[in-house]
Amino acid sequence: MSSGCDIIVLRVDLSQRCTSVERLPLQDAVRFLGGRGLASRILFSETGRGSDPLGDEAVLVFAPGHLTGTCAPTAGRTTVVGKSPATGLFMKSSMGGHWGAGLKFAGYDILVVRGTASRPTYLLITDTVVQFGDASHYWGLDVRETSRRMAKELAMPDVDVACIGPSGENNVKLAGIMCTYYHAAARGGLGAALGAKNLKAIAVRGHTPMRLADPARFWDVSEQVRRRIVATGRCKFYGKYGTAGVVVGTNEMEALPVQNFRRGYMENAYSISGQCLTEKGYLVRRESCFACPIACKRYSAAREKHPGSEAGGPEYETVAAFGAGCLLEDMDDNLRANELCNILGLDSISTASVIQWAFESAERGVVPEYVDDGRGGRIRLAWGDADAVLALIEMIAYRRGFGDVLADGVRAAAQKVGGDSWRWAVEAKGLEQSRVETRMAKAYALAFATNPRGPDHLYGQPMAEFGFSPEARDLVRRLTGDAKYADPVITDHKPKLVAWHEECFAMTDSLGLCSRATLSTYAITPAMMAEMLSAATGLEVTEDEMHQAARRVINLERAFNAREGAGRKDDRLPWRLMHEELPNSRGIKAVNSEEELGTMLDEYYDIRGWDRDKGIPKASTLVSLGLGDVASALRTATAAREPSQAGKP
Amino acid sequence: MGHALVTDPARCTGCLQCELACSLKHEGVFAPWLARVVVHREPETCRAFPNVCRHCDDPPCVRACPVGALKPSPATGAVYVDVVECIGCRECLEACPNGSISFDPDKGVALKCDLCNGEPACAKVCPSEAITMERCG
Ligand code: SF4
Ligand code: SF4
Ligand code: SF4
Repeated sequence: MSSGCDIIVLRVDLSQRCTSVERLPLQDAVRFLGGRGLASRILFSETGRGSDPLGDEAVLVFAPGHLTGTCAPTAGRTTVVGKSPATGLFMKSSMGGHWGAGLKFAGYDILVVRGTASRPTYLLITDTVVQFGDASHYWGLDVRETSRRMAKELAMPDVDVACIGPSGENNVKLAGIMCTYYHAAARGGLGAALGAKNLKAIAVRGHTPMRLADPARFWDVSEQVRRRIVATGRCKFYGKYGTAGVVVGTNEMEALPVQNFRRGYMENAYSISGQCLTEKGYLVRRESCFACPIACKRYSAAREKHPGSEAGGPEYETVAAFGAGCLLEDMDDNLRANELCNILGLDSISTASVIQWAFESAERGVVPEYVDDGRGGRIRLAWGDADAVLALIEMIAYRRGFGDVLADGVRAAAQKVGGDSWRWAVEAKGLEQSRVETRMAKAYALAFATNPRGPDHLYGQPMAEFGFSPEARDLVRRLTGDAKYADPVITDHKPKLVAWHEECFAMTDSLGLCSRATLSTYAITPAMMAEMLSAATGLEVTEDEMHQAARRVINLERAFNAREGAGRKDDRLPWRLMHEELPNSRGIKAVNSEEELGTMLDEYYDIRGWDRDKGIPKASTLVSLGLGDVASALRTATAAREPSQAGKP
Repeated sequence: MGHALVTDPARCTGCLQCELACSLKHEGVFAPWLARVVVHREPETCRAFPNVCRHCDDPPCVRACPVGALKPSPATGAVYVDVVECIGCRECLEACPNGSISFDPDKGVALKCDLCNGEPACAKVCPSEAITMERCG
């Protein structure tokens, strides 16, 4: 283990109840950047086309970053990679907290989980044992209770637990994996994949030191990075107000998705903002993930309603989804919704999204106004009704009553209910869109459309297009030649911006850094990442080589989807965003369209070396990246899918 | 010489940068459990408490050590562990009223803050001013 020697992969087979350890050469950390890149490589090689994300053959890879466990500022993150039960496509989902460092200190860089346990099981991974434990008495417990009891029963107060809540156990496709109590690898239903494996929790703890090739050089570059973070205004902003601090500015830009993306502005956005949280006494503490000097995490408590409700968070996405999306304007209601999602293990973005869809469906008469709550009662589907929202969250987690209709995600819900309801199902590729308005931000529109996980901000986050800070404007100037392209409503040069951001994101995840530091604020640059990776491994890596390695990772992930048959036809945005204009006071025609997206896609595919018509990597591109085996796998998959094409006249 | 580290648990975010810096500086590796500063975290409530030597006047740890392995450094006056002399008896751990001394079970020696020769790494990297250096006199 450790950043300066071989990469140690722990493999766990739940069906066979056995483990094995594999060593990968350190060069692989440079070729694939470490954590996420290697995890994607493993996923591609070790699953076949059409595999069942909830089946025995499903593989889940837990990959802390290559620098996780060191003092590299923000490097505490872990990416979980697998096939998404929600989309049936590639998924990577990232969590903060302290779990990743725990796995590293136990002596492992990457954990690969396969097979299905015959009964509820937990794993305990330390530097002396990998133990399969009976989790029958944890099954059914929420995330907080599970984490608390495991620490107690294992008599390890410092153990770090990643687990699923009841939603994951019930194969709810909105279920995430939670760690260190409140940190979520939320997106894409990977919690359901863990639940299908009967794996309730993975506890980690250890005392294996992280050794680096050149500690003195590493310390120097970390210091430089730390000083840059401390001096960056946007980092201070996130430290003060958390990610929810962004609500106010987004609302002022009329880009806050209100009421299922029907509007971009709400009157009282302050009441659900990070500023309100901090200034009105809801904030109990600021918290950091491992090694993070920004401390954007919160721990908050309700003040008037919901006595005793307290939890980690809320984040921007959560208050935007429940507060602006479902129209819950009372902070206390948002805090309770946040707490419920945390402890039940639900992705708050997707959960609030299906609830908004249900409210709109009732409003438009596609579903009844009153629905069965699964306990002999009824709840009323009405915008802004906090009781309904809170009840629905639990109904979804336990698949109770009408909750079962929503528990497979909004695309499936619209199919079950029928009518026109697919038009206000704000999803693409089967994933609910995160709370970002793409109709007035064209780089975001492209990034959301090309994202292999579906429409959200955590694959390429081209914030620079807003030119909100000196760092952002500098970047746009460097990439396009002129800072005037830092303008969200134009499409010029946006494919270039998106490609850079996707690459920066692949480096960020793979090293274990936080996108808050590399992308939302541009405090950590790819050059700094190259320097940290070089000092850690003793292998000299340049910024250009980092980008090249990132392209390797992005191509692999794209190839995973291509093997499943996905391509250009799937690089779309939700119907509403493509067809309904966003009202705004500036008189801008704010909508995404086929034409606009088509032009950007052509240019983007050209930059990536992908086929324009199919939107998949060309064999020559894969070969030039040293991914010849991936090219052959794709060729075989395409031939298998279109057997009759060859014989047709 | 009047150097002391002052902690403010209300500000601590539990990032462990202090432990990482201390362990790198003194052990050459990242191993938070070998740091001379210890952050106790309660992840369920997101609370965290940094604990580091107060550099007492008339230090009980020095009085407790049976072999005189705890010595004031000439530069700062900070009491440090002379690892050559330390016999690993843990008397100083018992004696410290703040629980500020830890133990390296592999080397069998006490781990104690030496104030980094007057340039405390932990206070330098702490992003929240939860550990600060105070100079008096
Ligand atoms: S180790 Fe404890 S007893 Fe010794 S000087 Fe520090 S705080 Fe005082
Ligand atoms: S002053 Fe130096 S030795 Fe003391 S706790 Fe801080 S980093 Fe460690
Ligand atoms: S560096 Fe500061 S904020 Fe971070 S854990 Fe240590 S004392 Fe707390």
